[in-house]
Amino acid sequence: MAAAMASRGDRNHIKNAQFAVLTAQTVFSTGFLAVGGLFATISESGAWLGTLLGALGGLAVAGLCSLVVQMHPGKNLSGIADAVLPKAISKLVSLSYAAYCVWLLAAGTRQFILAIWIPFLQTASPLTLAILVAAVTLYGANLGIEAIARASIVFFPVVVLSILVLAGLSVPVAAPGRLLPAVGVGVPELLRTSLLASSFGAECIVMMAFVAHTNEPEGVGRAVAWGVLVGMVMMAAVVAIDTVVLGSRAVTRVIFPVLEVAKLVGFGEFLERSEVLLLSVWFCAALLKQATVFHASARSIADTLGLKNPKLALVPLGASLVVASLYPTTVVAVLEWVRAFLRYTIWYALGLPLTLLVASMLRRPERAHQGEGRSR
Amino acid sequence: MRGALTRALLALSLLALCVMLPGCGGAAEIEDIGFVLAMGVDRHEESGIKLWLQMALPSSGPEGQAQQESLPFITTGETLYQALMKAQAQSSRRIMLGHVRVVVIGERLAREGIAALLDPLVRDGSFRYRSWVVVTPDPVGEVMQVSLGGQVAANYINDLMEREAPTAGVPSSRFIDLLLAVEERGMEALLARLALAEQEDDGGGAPQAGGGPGPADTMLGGSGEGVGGEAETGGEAPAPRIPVVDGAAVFKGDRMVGWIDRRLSAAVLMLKNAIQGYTFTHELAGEGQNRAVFSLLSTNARFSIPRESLTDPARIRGSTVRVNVAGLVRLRELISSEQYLTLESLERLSADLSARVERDIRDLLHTAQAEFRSDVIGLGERFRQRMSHSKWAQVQGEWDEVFSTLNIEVTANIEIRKRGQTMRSPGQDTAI
Repeated sequence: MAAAMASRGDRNHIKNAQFAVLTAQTVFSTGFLAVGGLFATISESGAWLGTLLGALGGLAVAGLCSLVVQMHPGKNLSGIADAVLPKAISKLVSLSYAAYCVWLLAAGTRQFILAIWIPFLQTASPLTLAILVAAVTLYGANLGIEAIARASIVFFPVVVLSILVLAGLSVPVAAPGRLLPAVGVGVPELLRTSLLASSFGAECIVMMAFVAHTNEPEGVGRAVAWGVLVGMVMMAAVVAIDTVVLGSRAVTRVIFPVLEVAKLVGFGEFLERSEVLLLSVWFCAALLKQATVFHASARSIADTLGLKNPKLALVPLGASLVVASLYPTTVVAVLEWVRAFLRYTIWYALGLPLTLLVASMLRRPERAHQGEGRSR
Repeated sequence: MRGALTRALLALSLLALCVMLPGCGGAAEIEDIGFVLAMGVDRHEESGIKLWLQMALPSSGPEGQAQQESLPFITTGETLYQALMKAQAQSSRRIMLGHVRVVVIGERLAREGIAALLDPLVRDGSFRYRSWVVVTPDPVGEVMQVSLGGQVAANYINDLMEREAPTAGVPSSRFIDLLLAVEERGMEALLARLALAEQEDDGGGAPQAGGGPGPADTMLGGSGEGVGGEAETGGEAPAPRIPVVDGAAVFKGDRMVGWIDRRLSAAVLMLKNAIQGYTFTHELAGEGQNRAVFSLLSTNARFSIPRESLTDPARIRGSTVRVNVAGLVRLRELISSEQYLTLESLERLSADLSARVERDIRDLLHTAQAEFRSDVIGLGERFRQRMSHSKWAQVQGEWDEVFSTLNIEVTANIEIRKRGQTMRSPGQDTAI
């Protein structure tokens, strides 16, 4: 794998600023659609604060990843696992990581397809949408992480701008008092919300597949942390906008609150029906996120199966993405799926780098004793 | 570099295809879509719901001409959706609710409850929450038939609500406002009252629109002997009645409980800091018919809720809430020998206006608390924001009853901020 990477030379090297943008995009770009309703169900007016506190979980994951990467400069997740764990367990780690990425990929794709399909393209076939999304995702992943990073550095600031525009347009119909009481239903519910929200921040673990691609390895940890922070602050801002416009109870009724807000706001009759424009921008960022996660999945599967060229995994993975993104078939089931993802994946995202960190620390005296390091 | 550009172009093309391709299979010509501009809903004796739709007829002519053409549909059904399906069966066009500008609800249906109307509308992906929702005491069918200056009812009412409602002290009354009031605890809905009034003629007199309260200090001109609705005409062609926004319908939950006139409706907006240029005539003290017209530019209502009420829900009942309303007005017209050119006279006028605002708000609170027992001023929402959730949960279910026991003390401080481009009226020789 490392040889394949090396053969591509500098082509797939990215700067830390791009790394931070990729991280923020991964954290933010699909979850924000339904997050307002999901979290307001738990803590009502405190949903925004819970989401903001959820950044702490993401930062914890980012911190652990940073420590691991510093101990193994120039290596990706699979390389680190191979270096510090027995082979069978290393394969298991790569496989579990691929499974995490595929789950993330399928959940994100399904959510976005529903977000387009339900309000805008009711007569279109979801299969067509799934195939198109998979095709673009596959194409993006095939271009490599550098191409994705370059496109992201263009699109993600537009996404940030779109959220700022949404916030600005919301002012005439917003009631900031709806964010009070800040703790919402209560402190336990707020903590539960932040724990669930931290699963979004923990998606930064996807970037472990690309740490070897950065040309400034010493600043990778900081880049990931900034990415998590920006992504989670944006997500909290979206939840706050949803709440001040739709109300803390009414927001729980809507499937994709941010789309409802986009439909509602406008600038007189000049910027009415701007939601399609906003959705197009968000759709582009979501596709770039999906391509990033897809690329990470393909690399992980290639590592697990011992494929020399990770591109061999792209087509079967793309086909499985089409199938996976058609299920579950109902919105209720999709949201339940997303809830399950939020409930469990934070523990995986914390556990994986922690395991590698502990294994690295246990291995360090051994390697020092042997006077050599394994490299891959 | 060229390769990167090609890739970027390819990626962008694919992105564009993603957005465009899914629509190819289900393309619909504009002539095949029935763009509903206005919906009217009222109670029907036999079926339950009577529905009026005003559908736009898109044409290739000039925009102005296209606006004038519309197709009416009248159907009935047990529910709103059933009525909509019947209208769909009668129409060769696919009904689309994405362009509904106004929903007119009949008083009778409003009094029976409108929750069932909301469900099919929020389920429809295209329906806009910015649509106006108004309640009328007049026959809904008559309101929907209004056509003035070539404008169909939907456009006319939309313009009326956009431009005239703020100066008439009428609430915002968009669909989202109704939805929020129905869903959130601690606030009740207040929807604009749309009535049909006779047009002015040389005879003078006051318009009497519908069955609701007459305007307390209306700026609308008088009416002559036009006939209304279903009244007899006595041979002459009836003068067409025009829709006017005047006052508001007060709700409790999803049921309308009564009307308030524009004076009280404006008082609600003052307490909600939502006033936007409400214009009123004020009788000035002194000899003769001295009067002035003011626009209330903005208000800032500050509520002081006793701390013990926030920490102990049992102590909310009967507690005293103080509210101070600071407002800025603009002088629009002055018919008086007193030109208010000294600070003392201005302070006197400000005090007079403040007393008037206090009186309006007290009248409103009396009506809301004693008559309707409905928290239209959203005081419960202020309590909710300042209380812990567990404490608020103890009172939210019976909030309207708790609200009616509150002792709300009002003070107002109105300042005359603008007086226009002249210091004194022409012909008045008062020196500055």
